[in-house]
Amino acid sequence: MAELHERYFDPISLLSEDAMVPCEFHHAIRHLGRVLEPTSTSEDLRKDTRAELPLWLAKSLTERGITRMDAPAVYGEWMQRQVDAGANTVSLKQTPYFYTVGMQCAATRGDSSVAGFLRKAFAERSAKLLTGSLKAPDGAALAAVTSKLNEEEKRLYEAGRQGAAAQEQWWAAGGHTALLLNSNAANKAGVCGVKRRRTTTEAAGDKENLV
Amino acid sequence: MPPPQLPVRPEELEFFAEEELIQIVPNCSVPNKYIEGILDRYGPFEPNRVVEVPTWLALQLHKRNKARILLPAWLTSDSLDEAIERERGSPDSFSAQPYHYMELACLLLEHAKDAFTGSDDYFKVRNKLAQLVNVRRHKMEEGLRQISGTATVRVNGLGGYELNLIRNNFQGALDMFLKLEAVEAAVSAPLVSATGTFSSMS
Repeated sequence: MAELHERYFDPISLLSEDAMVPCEFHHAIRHLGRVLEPTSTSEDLRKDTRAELPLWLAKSLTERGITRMDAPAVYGEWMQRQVDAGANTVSLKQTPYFYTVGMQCAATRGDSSVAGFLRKAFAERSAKLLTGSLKAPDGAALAAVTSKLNEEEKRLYEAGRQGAAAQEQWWAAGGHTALLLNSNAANKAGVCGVKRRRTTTEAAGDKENLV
Repeated sequence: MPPPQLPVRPEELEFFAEEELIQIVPNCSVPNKYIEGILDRYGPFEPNRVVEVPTWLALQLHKRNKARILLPAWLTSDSLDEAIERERGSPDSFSAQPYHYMELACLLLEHAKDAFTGSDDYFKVRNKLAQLVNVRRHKMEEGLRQISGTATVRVNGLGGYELNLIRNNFQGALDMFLKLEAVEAAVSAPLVSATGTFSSMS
């Protein structure tokens, strides 16, 4: 029941149900030929025609046994090979709701290979996602991380950033713990009297970077 | 599911930190020996007798030169050294620190500089604290990198600020894994009864 509630209001679930899924009809459909399959030549759909239906329609029809749903091509062999080769290099920008649609397809069709593949892909990509969030990555690194993320992953990434961003905001606004950020820099300046640029080798030898 | 929100913001955490008890030595006495607050009564205040009060009260008294603040035991130079050693020595778990250690330490560093004397010199303590914070942060990042499925993660010993940093990440990622693995389990369940073998999830 909670899941139904989640699907009802959540924007990602709503938008993901618009994804098109290839289906094959078990029964003939009268009068809706042009609606369901815009290129069909007759008013009625014959038995065994293939058509692309939106996910919400495909799921409901499949559950009633009227159609058979296939997984969209994006979950097929080619994508699985790409993900095996390196999940982090695959750009999921074209499929903004990759995981949600995939989960729905797998659940309706009872397809365990797709489910396992989704989990592996997410496991690899989430490792990359999470490391960028404790420290704010600057321009190039940020682009490198977020350019390959789809909507769901981006949401996760931004939620993660919130934690560190709230802290950075607070420290910039003068929260006391800003002391922890500036201690080393202030120390050196105080001792030498002049702030000088520290070379990378010096920074590498710094105790805090020796972790 | 709405995106995970931060239930406690950093400024709120800092406010809550001021409720922690800390030891002071008053240098004056108070009529009736106790200070009456709304919820509680603080004291007994006698000159040169150590008394434990909440940090907000300690800082107020210190500002008016009515008390001297004593460093809490975990904030001395030696115990920070020990803490850093413990952190470096155990990559899997965090050494226990008071929940508000970061906020309290910085409040004291900023407002009660004369509490840092002798071997617990101000700059030394500040640097060690910064080191400790960095070591723990690196450990958190390592831990985050290793999440690859639903698992119980040990985060005992982390302070409020640190938990805030990783809360959304953990929650979001683990929720996603939960959903994915639930689908996988639901879909593989028929296989279990059919073939009698358990399809491994790793």
